[in-house]
Amino acid sequence: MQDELTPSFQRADAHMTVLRGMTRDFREPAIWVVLAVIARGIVEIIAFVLLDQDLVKHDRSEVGVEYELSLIFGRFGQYLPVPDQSRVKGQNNYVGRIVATVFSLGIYLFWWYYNQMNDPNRHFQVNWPQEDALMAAVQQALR
Amino acid sequence: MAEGEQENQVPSVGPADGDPPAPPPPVSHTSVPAAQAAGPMPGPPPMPTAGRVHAAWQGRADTDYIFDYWTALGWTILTFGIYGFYVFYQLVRRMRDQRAVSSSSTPRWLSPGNRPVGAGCRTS
Repeated sequence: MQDELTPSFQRADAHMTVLRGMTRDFREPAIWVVLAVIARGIVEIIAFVLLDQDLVKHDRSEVGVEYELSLIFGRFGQYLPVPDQSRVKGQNNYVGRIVATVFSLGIYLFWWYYNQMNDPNRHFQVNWPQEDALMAAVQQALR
Repeated sequence: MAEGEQENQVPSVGPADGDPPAPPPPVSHTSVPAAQAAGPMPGPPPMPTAGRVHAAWQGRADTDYIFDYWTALGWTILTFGIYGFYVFYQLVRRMRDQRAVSSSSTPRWLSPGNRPVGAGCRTS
């Protein structure tokens, strides 16, 4: 069984390394707000680009970990649903959005805000059933 | 035996009778770092894997902040843009918290160099 599952552990570990590395990025919200007060608009655009990249990278790694966990738990007789890998969204067209924001005199930023709120909302809501299933499987395995 | 006792005796350095007692030698303090003297404070024992997963699962309401765009926009207009800074704060915070939770709540046996296959799991 060890030989069978070792590749899954190694792949999950690689995804976890990405997730752990992301925690070292500079994302202190209070400082970002201070910067936004100083240079509103520009800082928001920079933050939106970074947050979108974060979401894509995070979701890709998370789907990878969840997939490997479903294999590992399945081998131990615990059911974990396989995550939908098509749920990972693509990156925004940053150049196009910045151009649209400039030419619309900032009005396009409202639409960008809408995407920045709704994309992570969707990410959370899609992930909740997966997290519930993981919680149930962990409790079942330790019983 | 008596000879050995004599060898272990400290030679008397006291003053001769009638002389004032000599001042005690100055006490020399060697500086020892506190951490070295007391030893490092042991940290709390790590939370078991199931506990960390459960804690992250329970704390989902705090980390997974769900925005309602129209409510946020309405409050931003009503407060002349000030609420917009709060929205911006929450946008950055929830992504930061989400990443921290994901990287800390995954079972410990997925950590690098710690992959005992099947540890923490039992076959049903």
